[in-house]
Amino acid sequence: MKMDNRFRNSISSLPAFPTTIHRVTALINNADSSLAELVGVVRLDPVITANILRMCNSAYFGLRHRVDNVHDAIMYLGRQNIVRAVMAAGVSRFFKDAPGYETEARGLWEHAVGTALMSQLLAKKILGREDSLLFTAALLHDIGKIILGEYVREKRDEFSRYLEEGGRSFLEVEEEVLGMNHAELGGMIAAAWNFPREIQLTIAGHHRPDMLAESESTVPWIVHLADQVCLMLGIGQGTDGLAYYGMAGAVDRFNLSQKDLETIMAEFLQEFEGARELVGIVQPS
Amino acid sequence: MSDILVKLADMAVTNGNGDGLAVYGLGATVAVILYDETTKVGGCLQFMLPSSISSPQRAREYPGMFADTGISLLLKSCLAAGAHRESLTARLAGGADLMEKGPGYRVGEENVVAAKKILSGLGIAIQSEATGGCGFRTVRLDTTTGRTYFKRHGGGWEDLR
Repeated sequence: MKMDNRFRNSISSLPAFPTTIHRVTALINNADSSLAELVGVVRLDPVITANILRMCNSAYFGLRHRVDNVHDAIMYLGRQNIVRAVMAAGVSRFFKDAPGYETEARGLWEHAVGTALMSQLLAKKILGREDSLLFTAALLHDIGKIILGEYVREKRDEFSRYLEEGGRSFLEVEEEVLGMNHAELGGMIAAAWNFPREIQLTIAGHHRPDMLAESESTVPWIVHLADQVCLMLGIGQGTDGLAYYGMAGAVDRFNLSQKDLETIMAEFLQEFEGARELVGIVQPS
Repeated sequence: MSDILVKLADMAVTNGNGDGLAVYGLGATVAVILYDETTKVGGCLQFMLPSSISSPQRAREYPGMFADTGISLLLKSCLAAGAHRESLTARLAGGADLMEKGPGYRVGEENVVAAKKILSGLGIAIQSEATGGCGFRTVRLDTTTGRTYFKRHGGGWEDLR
């Protein structure tokens, strides 16, 4: 069987992305929808309900009262935060279930949450606001690894040889050895899961935002930058390490100074500490 | 005995009770380990950035975030735990960087340079190091022997050289 078909088969055998999440996002983006409608949809999914309540009571969202029902959770969190909580609850299950490499899966999830939080800090600095589409794109940016990770493991020796030789990024080694890189594969997964085109493109281009001719959006660039800063801080561990081309392009594009990045890193420390619930999120039995 | 894990922008000191000190997953951040073999006092800092000069307030909140404020506090803490100033030696690990095609943002390298300069200014010799490159590293100090090991992701333990 050709590699391409193996990847295609792997994508089609992934569990479907929870429809609840797309319905929640659609309702939130529709200004005419009511709180009651939103509560009704969220309640349909017990895993997401349980996780929303856990997250709602986490330090990250900083609520003063303990919340014990979906109605109050949505009311207190606000619509944008609900997208984040629902998305994190929905996406985490794919990382937890990544077959055969639990420690890697945990590292990947930690990196996903870290990058999502970092993307919001960067968005505040660069755009002057937070952005839940960006949060989602950042959370999913490495989703291709839940499939590709298994193949990387199979060819571990070949990967090590190439990486030790130096001169090639991990993305280039993936292409060389497997004929596909995790970003491209992630874009295909996002398409199969019916995510908006901007999210698909961002995932596919998160290491090479300069090559996304189709988009003038800042989203791919911010996800790229958030990913790179998290790698520098060692958030989430992988075979790839920091073997990617750097972030000078993104730093220049947004006119960020070293001091800006330092400030963002320092803020990140506090946020990430408060987001332990998001990182530690588990499937209720 | 167990390992004390040192988190980002944090530090820990152990006074010879046999606990190990470890940092998981150093990227561009640098672990500075100080060890006194006469008292078995060991300390470890994981700092993120080379200098606190432009961020004095951050440095007050997180002294462990920067090479200058971090190493200075680590040294004080080791001395307070009973280490002898003259028998302290240092080990360094981490300081990896992203790949760059042109001039870029090389925090890892700047971190290593800063740590070496500060330690040299304090007259503390660097006994061994595993720095640079572009892979994550985990590092561990065995405080009963002073041996310091590191490993790359998915690899085995190696002595720091």
